[in-house]
Amino acid sequence: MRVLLVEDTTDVAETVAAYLVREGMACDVAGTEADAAAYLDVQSYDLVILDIQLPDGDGRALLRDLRRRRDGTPVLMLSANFSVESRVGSLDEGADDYLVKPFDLRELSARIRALSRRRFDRSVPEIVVGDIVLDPSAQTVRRAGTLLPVTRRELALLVLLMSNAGRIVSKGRLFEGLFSFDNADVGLNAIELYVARLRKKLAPSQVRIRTHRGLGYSIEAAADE
Amino acid sequence: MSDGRLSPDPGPSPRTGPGPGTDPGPGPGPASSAPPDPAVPRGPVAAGATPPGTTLSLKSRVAVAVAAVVLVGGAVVLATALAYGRHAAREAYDRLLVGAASDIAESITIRDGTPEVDMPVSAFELLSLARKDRIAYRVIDRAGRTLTGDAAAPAPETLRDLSLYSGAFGDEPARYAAVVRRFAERGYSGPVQIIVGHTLRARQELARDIAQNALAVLGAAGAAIALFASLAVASAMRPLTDIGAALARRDPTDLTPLRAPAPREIAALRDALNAFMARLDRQLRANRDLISNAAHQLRTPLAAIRVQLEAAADDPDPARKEALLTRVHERSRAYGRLLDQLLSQGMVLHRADAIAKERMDLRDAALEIYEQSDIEVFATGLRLRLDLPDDPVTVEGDLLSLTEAGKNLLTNALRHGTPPIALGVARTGGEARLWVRDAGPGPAPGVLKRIGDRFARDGLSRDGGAPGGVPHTSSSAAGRSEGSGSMASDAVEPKVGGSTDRVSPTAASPDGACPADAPPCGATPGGAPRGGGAPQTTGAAMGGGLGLSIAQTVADNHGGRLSHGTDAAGFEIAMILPVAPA
Repeated sequence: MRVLLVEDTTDVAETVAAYLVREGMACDVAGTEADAAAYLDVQSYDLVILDIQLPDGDGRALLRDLRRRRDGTPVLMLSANFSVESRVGSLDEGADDYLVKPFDLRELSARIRALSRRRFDRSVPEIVVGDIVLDPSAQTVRRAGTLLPVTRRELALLVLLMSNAGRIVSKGRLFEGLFSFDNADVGLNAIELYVARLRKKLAPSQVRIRTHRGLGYSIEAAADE
Repeated sequence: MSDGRLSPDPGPSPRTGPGPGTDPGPGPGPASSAPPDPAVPRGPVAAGATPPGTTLSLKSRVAVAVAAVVLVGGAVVLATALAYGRHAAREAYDRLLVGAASDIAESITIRDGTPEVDMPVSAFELLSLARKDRIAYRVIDRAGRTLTGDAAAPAPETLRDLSLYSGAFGDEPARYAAVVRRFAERGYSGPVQIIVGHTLRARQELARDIAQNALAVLGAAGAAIALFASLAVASAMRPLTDIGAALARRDPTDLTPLRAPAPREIAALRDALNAFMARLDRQLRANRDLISNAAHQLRTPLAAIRVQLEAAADDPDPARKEALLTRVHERSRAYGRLLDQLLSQGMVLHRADAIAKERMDLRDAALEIYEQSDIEVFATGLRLRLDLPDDPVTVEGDLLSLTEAGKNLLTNALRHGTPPIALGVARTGGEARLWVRDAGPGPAPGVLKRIGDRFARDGLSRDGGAPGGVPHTSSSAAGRSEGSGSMASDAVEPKVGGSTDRVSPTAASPDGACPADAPPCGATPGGAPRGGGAPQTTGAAMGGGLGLSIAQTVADNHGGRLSHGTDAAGFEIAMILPVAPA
């Protein structure tokens, strides 16, 4: 497995590279956007680890170039200053994952392994309802191509509803799906709040979550009504 | 923008999606506590490039208004004056004509059946009052013959006792008066008509005089109005100029309110300025506090990291070296958490003034806290109970700040409290509560009291954070997993600065790498699990205090308070906020 590490802080780059080599990966280090572009021109990689702040530009520009060339190499973004917008922004621009500095090396290698696995693991089909596309393997939800920020439980709720699109899913079943593996002790009424959160996030979409009093919830595309 | 860096755990979050879900849009980050985001152009730079435009000066505006009044009023007055002048001149000179005609009529006598005119001097004296005008007179008998005078003088169309009419005098316009005197004598029975006329020069002159005088008065009045208006404007503007001058004279760091008295209209501006400066001052002060606090708080764990690294480098025993390095690793994680909390403190301070509160359901805040603390709860392996009422608990608030505060309270409970831990929302009367409970006895009473005092004062811990250590005196701490040992050691040592003992040279001593007064901490290094049961190092303890301070700041800012209490079931800390009116 060959990894390109684009990171301008030399000691961090060297340490990370040494660690990745110990983990059995081949690792090239580029300190600038220009160097990185040069590496990418002559070599194909299984993964690019990309710092957002580079001395000669923004790592996201490199990412955009990469995606414009239809290069699907997985990209893991690194940044010390990851506001929610730039997170979602870089995922939108085609990054596959992000890691906020400071991070643990173990965490980094776990993410790298997950990304490389995901690349070859496309067996689980996407779930589509209206303009909402849920990718269970990537754990992402997109509305008309735009990534929606959802939490783990919101995703679980959405998977349950979307894989039963048009059918009523009882509150109890949703509750089990959301909390059965949790160390949590949560009332049934939390489901209502989660549904409200999801509704807010899905708001501009044509997909609606409907409440069936006493029965549960169902999701359907507005056109079906 | 630091909005994204809210998590008390800087550690990477598992892949659950792109980020903490309901983070509202691009709220501005704390202005000075976050490094500028290169991708986002900062406002002031763009705004400072072009000075704001100047509109028409107030003096000009008043001048335009006064000029308009004088012009329109003047036109009306002038028209009236001209009409009046013409009217007055006509009246005066018509009387003259009538007078002269009557004089002549009086002087007519009948002799031998024929009217005879003996022109009286008085008539000409009268007429000579209009000096420049030419005069015509004519006396006509009953047969229409001109007895005397100028036969060219026009006669009125009808025969009346008194007629006044316009006519021509050669090629000049003229005014005529015709008077009829009726005789009933033996020789002559019938009317004699006397016509007197003159040209209009005197009349026009009089009319012009009157108009000219009116115009002069008008001009004087206009000048006076302009003068007084400009004086009034100048005097009205003076307080404004004074405020401007006072501001310009000021020391750039002086943000005390302006004290100068001002008229009511300008007092509003002054008060708005004062309120603005007060807000600015609060933020500046908060930022200053934050920076000095940050420098202080970050130096201590950094010192610990440094000495432990040095000790590790010198240590020949691989096992002890390993233990020291593990400690350094944990320290650096705590350091990251502390940094995040400082940023989050900066954020809530900033949002206190910058973000408008909106109606929200406190249950949503609890859920958001629950979601964002997911990783931490998972890592500690503890069970967290979420206790939400069925009905909404509506408050006026900032979801982001409330979430941040609640998260810090929950983190404290997870790190220092005794399980089971519960998080919930309740409504009692007019108060909404966002509470966190654990089964332990809570922090030592003295510690909490000090925290309360301290944070009630300014919402920020000023010194090394030791009093914020919020060490729980849990005797039941033994029930906790790794790390609780040293937590207890913090607790039995509440003295200020106690936590910095860890930095003392004893920490670098080859055996145990532990201060002598904290015996149980030797147990920590070996099996410290990732994230969970983090050793209660200085950083974590300080983080606890900072967390409380964040909660206190947010509660204050929402018009609420922080309350805590211990009962048989355990310790509860709550943010109490006023319920929003329906």
